[in-house]
Amino acid sequence: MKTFAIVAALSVASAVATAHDLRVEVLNARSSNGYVAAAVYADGKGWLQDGQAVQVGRVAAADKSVLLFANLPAGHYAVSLFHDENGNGRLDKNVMGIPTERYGFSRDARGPMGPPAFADAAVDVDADTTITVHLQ
Amino acid sequence: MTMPRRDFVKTVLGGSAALAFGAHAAETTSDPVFAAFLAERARSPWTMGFAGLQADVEPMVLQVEGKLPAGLNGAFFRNGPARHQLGGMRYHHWFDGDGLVQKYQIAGGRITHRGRFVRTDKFVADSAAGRFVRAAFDTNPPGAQPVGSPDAINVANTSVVDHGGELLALWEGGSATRVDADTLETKGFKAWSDDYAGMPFSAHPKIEPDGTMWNFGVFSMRSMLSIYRIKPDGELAQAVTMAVPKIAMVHDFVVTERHLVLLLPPLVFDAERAKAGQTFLHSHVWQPELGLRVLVLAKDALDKPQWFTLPAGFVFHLGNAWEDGSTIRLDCMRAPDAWQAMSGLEQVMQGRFVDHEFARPMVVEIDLAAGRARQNALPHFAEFPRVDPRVVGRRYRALFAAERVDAGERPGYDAVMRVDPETGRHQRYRYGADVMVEEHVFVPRGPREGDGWLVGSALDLKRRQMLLSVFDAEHLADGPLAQGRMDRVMPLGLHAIFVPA
Repeated sequence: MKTFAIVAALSVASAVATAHDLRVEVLNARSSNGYVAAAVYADGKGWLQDGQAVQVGRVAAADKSVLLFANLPAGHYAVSLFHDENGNGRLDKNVMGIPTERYGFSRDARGPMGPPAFADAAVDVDADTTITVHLQ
Repeated sequence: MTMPRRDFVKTVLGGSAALAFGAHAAETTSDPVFAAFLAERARSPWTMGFAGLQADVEPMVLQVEGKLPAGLNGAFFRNGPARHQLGGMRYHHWFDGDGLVQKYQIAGGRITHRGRFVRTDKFVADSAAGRFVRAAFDTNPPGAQPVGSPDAINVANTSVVDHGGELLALWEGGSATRVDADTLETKGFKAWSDDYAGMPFSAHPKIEPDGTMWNFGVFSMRSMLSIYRIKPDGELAQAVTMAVPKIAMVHDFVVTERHLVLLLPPLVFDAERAKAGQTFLHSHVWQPELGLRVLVLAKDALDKPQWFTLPAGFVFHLGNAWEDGSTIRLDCMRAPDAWQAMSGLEQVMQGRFVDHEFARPMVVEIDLAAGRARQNALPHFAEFPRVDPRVVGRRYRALFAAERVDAGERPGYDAVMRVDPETGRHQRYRYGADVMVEEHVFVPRGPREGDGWLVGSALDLKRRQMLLSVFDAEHLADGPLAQGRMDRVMPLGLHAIFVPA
């Protein structure tokens, strides 16, 4: 009984201890118009798919825009973000589907003529973590 | 001489690399292209035209001989690839280099020259890193960043156009870049519309006498061709994109009163090669069995292409075109194959000249009714064709070009010429084998076609000077009316325009 209580207490403590904050600093905006919108994906599940992000957020664009994603369980995360300069709620693209607003991914990952793989953008969040993303 | 190559390279470079963009100027190189170029420099003076620059060019007043025409006031702008090396690496092809916009201001009997690199995203990223971190037309630097869009590797190095109150530095694989005509400051990519932001916009738009500007763009990865029609005030009137099977390297086109004509050399883009890591240039494959395809688009029916075929050949540039009843007549500079594009212009970056047949002016007729195209060569070797801007798309009797007469064992041109495409009547001024002639442009003076000045720059290899010459365009053989000289060497450039004051 006593042993059980200790284990239970430990697991509560560890649940608290393994929730971390991910702070994302976004640089290289073309202007301070509109918003920087970001989505956080966990463990490669539903990477870049609608409704699959574990958290989303947006913040007014600035020279350095900062987004804070709180209480993420320890794990592997990747961030996709873009600068919604005209505030229309989407990443604008030209007739060939190439983004015409700036975007970026954690670890500044890039794919050839498309988004990077989750693994190339993923960061370990096992403590409060700050990352920097340069809009491209 | 037992000095190891690396030390030799360091010695040769000495102070020349000191003013480089980025903190890490080239001091040594293990790059074989760079090493080859350095090894050839001493014995091949022409290589000075391909050494390149690492910094912007401060204003300098030219020494003028002769008298500049009183009516000739304005700015002669030239664009061209000018930074060829960075961080110990040299680009593999002449067309890789970052664009430098040069301006020769002609005012009050004086000529002042200056130049400024276009601050493209690639230029800024490479400069910050002190080495090439993004791919170029024919160079994939080791460890280069993935390319997310054409503009990530846009070097804005091919031509300039003045239209709708803006000066634009043009590449061909991505956006036009806005440049301040006074200061040459870079003002960012030009977006014609939301849909066409970041789309390829060729370096050879054609401006009709009424001010309408037409252009095209080739999106090789998707085998697509875009056509743009832009109003005289610079506003986009129309843009369409169509699939073109076996899209080719297309650098230039022509317009008539009713049609657009594109020549597709059989240098066909293969996306699989690009995905496998080939350079953009060498993702193209020579397929002479296709012939040289002629694509004719009616301006009022862009969705109904007409196709014709000419014998296989390679074309960079066209001069002009016009409607002669149901026949379109045009001229182009045609080489028998793509050797210059694929190999010759790589060799020059290594300081090597290999003689191979140069392009000839070719007069082409496209009989729309009979569905037939024919061509006739004129007996010259020439490039950089230009016409009087008042006859774009109309009948014309004066075609100007840089001509290769007796240039010897070096690349490029040694003369300027004027030819009547209908009679073949020809005149020229020969600068001489020691002068490398760049594109010359026609500037109107009197009311008749061809009544005007021919203005252009050249590199004097013996005196290590740049020349800016002004000819009476009706009397080229008389030599320049006036010629400015300055004691510095500029990288040989591509296309120029004259913007009257």
